[in-house]
Amino acid sequence: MKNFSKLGIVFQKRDEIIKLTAITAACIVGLGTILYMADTGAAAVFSLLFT
Amino acid sequence: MINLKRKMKTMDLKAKILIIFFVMILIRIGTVVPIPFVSKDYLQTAFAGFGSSFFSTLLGGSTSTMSLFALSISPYITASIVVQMMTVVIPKLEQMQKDGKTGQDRYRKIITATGILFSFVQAFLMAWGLGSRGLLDPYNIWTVIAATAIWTIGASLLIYIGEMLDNFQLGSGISMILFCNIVSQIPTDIAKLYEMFIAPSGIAFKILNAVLILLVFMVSVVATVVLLTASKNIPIRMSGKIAGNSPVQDMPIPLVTCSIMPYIFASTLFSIPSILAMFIPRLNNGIAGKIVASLSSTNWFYINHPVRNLGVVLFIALTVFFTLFYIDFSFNPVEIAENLKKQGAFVPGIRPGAPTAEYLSKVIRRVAMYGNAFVVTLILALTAICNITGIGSLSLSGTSLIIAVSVVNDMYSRIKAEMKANARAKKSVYGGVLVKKGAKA
Repeated sequence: MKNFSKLGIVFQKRDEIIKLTAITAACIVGLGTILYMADTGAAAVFSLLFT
Repeated sequence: MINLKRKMKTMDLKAKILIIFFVMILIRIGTVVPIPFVSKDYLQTAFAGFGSSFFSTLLGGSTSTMSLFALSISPYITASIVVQMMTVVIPKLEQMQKDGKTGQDRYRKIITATGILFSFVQAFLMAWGLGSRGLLDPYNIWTVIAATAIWTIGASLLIYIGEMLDNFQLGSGISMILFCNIVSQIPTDIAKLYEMFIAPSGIAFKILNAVLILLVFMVSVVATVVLLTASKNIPIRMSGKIAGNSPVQDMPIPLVTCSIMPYIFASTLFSIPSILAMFIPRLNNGIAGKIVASLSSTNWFYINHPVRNLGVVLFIALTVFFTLFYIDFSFNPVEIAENLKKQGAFVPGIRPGAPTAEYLSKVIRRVAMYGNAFVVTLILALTAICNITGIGSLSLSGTSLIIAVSVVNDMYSRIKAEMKANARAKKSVYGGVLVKKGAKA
């Protein structure tokens, strides 16, 4: 933790921020892609079944 | 049921993560399960503009397909807003909140029941209102009943899944469903950005634009992470016996004190007029039309339409209101001050009891207001970038980015805490000696 401001707000250390950002970005993009594939795959199957 | 809840809590961490992952996939599949008597031609024309709105992102695009999960989790969000507002006028609800675990369980049940009731009402209005305009083919009493039943069951199922996910104690189940809906649209956004900025330009601009897009995304994520992990520490002096070697400890107050709730509530309320305008086309004309347009974030920050920017001012006011409301709702400075007094702890320079409660209330409100100012600035900056560059709405612009980052951060910190707890438990089982793999006896 690093105390930067006059308000007394304490921010996380730079290393921790970088680690959290990398995890967050990877989760968002990775999971997003997998869920999108599930989504479009299922939509294609249903359209084949019901047309 | 109690046994299942207990099992879910004590389940292996890997199993918990895998189940959450498969549930997310199932939710996405449920979002595209078609309903036979819903007209596809009508969907393509009626929801052409709606697909890009914040509310549509929150619902995972399910409204545009009118599938099993057409209502998604929206009735539950509306129910949460209504029930929490009702605590101001119904003291019994407020008392329930303060009645420990039993009271809070009852309170959650009331929100769930209200959510299911809202699902039914919303499903019926959709089937009845939009059905007559061509959504249902054929449009008769039976298709209206069937559509109402299917959409109510779909929304109730999602509410149930959300509550079940809560039992894993890896974050809020409802937030996980919202997260799943938001991130599943990222590939569509990437395709949209590619079509707009990368495909039409020459090779040098292709690279430059791709780098710029990536930079804006990373800066937004970093800014959100920084805000969500920042806090103000209030020093608490403990009596020597309780605190052991360290007489001064910190009580952290998160900068984003109320988490993402004020922004979900404010953005959801702002989406209601646009949804009503879909049912009542008259609302798109005259003064009503101007109000509806100014409440849609996709119309903000345009110099040609300065009046529409009034929506920005209203959005800021609403987030301030919900932040203050949520602090009163979730923090009880009098109770915190009482607990500190009972433990023999105090804030240095402040007398225990009422003066401590007053001090805590002042500090928590001030921190929350600063946090709100930072988050709103970030949301509005992202909205401005999207609108000025002509992108419009993206799944990860503004409020939805804050929701997605907050869910990942929350889950990560809980996973880390559980791993630490498991390691401690293992250590105590082996009599204080951690046995490493391959270590010689």
